[in-house]
Parts: sequence; C-alpha cells; structure tokens
Amino acid sequence: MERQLNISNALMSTNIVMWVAILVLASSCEPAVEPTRRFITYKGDHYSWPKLLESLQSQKLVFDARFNETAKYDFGALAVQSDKNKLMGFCDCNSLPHENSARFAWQWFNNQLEIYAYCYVKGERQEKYVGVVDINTYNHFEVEFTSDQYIFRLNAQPAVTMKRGSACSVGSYSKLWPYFGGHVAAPHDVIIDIRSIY
Amino acid sequence: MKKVTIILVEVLFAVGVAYSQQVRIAPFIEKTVAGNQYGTQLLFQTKNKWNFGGFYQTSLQHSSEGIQSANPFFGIAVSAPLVKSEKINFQFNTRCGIVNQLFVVVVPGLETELKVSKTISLSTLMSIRMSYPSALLKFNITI
Repeated sequence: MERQLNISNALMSTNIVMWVAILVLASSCEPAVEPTRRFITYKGDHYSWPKLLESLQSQKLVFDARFNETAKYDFGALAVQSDKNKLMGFCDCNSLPHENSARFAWQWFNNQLEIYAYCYVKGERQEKYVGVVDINTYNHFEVEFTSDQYIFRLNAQPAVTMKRGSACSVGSYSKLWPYFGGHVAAPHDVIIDIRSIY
Repeated sequence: MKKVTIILVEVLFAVGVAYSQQVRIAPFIEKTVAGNQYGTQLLFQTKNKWNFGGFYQTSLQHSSEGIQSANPFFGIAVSAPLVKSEKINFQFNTRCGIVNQLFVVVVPGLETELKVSKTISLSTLMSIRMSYPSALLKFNITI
C-alpha cells in the first residue's frame, strides 16, 4: 500500500518557490550562469582545484583562458623550465590521458607564455608550438577533432593540426583540466581563469 | 554499437510493457548552461512508482535556413521513488544516452512530481549537466 504522507505547509511553500524559480528559469533565454571557473594549482601540487568530472559533448572544445602573474616561474635548469604544463583538453574516445588525448599546454619560457598543442596518440606523446599569449587577458582556445586529426586554434593565429589515433567513435570523452608539470610541482600557487563556451 | 543499442531499447520496451501499470508521454523543456533544450519522454510507470523509458531532446538554433535542431541527446531515463504521496512524489532520476551521436553522457537529478489530475501531472527536475546545474520542467500525460 502506498505510504501516505502528511505534507507540511513548509514543504508545500518550498515546492511553490522551487516551481516559480524553475518557471522563471525556463522562460528566459539567457544562460543561467556565467561558466567561468578559477583553477588554482597550489604550491607543491600538480593537480588544480576544483577537481571536476565533465565529459565533452561536441566535436569542438572551446574556451577562453586567462593567466596572471602566477604563470611566471624560474626553475633554472632549461630541461625543467621547458616542461609542459597542461591547460585544458580531453581524453579521446574511452581512452586515458596517456593513451589518446588532446590538450593545450603552456610554459613560461624566454620571459613569455608559450602555448603548445600536446597530444597522446596510441600512447605516443606529440607536441607542437602554437603561439604566445599575454597574461592578464583572456585568450581564445579551440580544439576540434575530425576522424583522423586534432585541430588546435589559438586566437586568430593559423590552426595547428596533429594526428589522431583513437580506435572508437561512440564513447566517453572526459575533459582534462589544468595540471602543473611535467616532473616538477608548482613552485607557488598558479591561478588560471577558464571560461567555457558551449 | 547500433545493434546493441537497438536490442537494449527493445528489451527495455518489452520489460516496460510487461511490468508497467501506466504509460506516460511527457514533453519537457530543460534549461542548461548551454541554453534551452526541448524534448519528449515516453515512460512506463510500475506499481511501485518506478519510471523507465526513453527520451529525445535537442536545442533549437535559428539560422538563415530557419530553425534547426542541434546537439541532440537521446537515451534511456529511469526514476526511482524516494518519497511517495497522493499529490507529490520525490524521485531520483537518471538519464543515460548519447549526445551528438558520439558522446556518452550520464545525467543524475532529483525530480518533484505534482499531480494535477488523474491523467496529468507536472514535474521539475534539477540535474547536473556539463558540470553545471540544469532545470527541467515536464508535463506528464498518462495515456
């Protein structure tokens, strides 16, 4: 037999408020939220906060990202300084990051912030220089995938293409978020603002 | 993959028909971080108020050629009752399906159903889509 509930006035009021809120939300055309997030990689860490679980839902990942003074660092040794830090990208179809993935990467090198296309194709790492960006301003990033290649676009610069090696098409394409390193952890807190464009 | 999907849908349909007490059709509108989506669910409701069935939803985009659908999302939907009463039900809802024919997506959410009459009820569903909250308003018609 169905459990009978005595619903209190408070519960009813809460429901009414929720209904009105949802009606207002559904009837407006503007996005409900501004999808900008601040990612912080704390000193001594590789992974950034907040940690998110999100999957790609179109063949193009589009976002604006802003670095600030915290993107500057000096490790001294050239080999360490040229380690690529990861900005954002995605794992390809049902793959892990080190199997098949495509990401933008960055490094502070020669007193400038350099952006790279950074991919794993069937377990093999590939990098290509994309360009330089200014700090304290939003820059536009796009990664698109076709059946056989990744296409990286940064601001109005010419696109950079890289080979794609995924074996499947339908599946999970999880997004990859900022990661510091390489081999060395963040020397200080590193802050990146990312505005997703859907 | 297509064969597996078709078999799964057929099995679900057969089980649904066998166990269902009611068949419901539910047009809905969902507001996500990427904009509004419009769709319909076909649901089977069991004696215990479990709902399961299929859904299809899409965005509508204005272009020079008129209104076109974009980012279609289809799959299966299941909701389990958390609290039941005569007028209001609270349910845990999960939609699992494919976006843009490539991307497997799972969308969990909490649903409140308000009964208006024997054949009509209204539902609100708060879910997480693209890692942001989404709000869905659904009009359930019992056939």
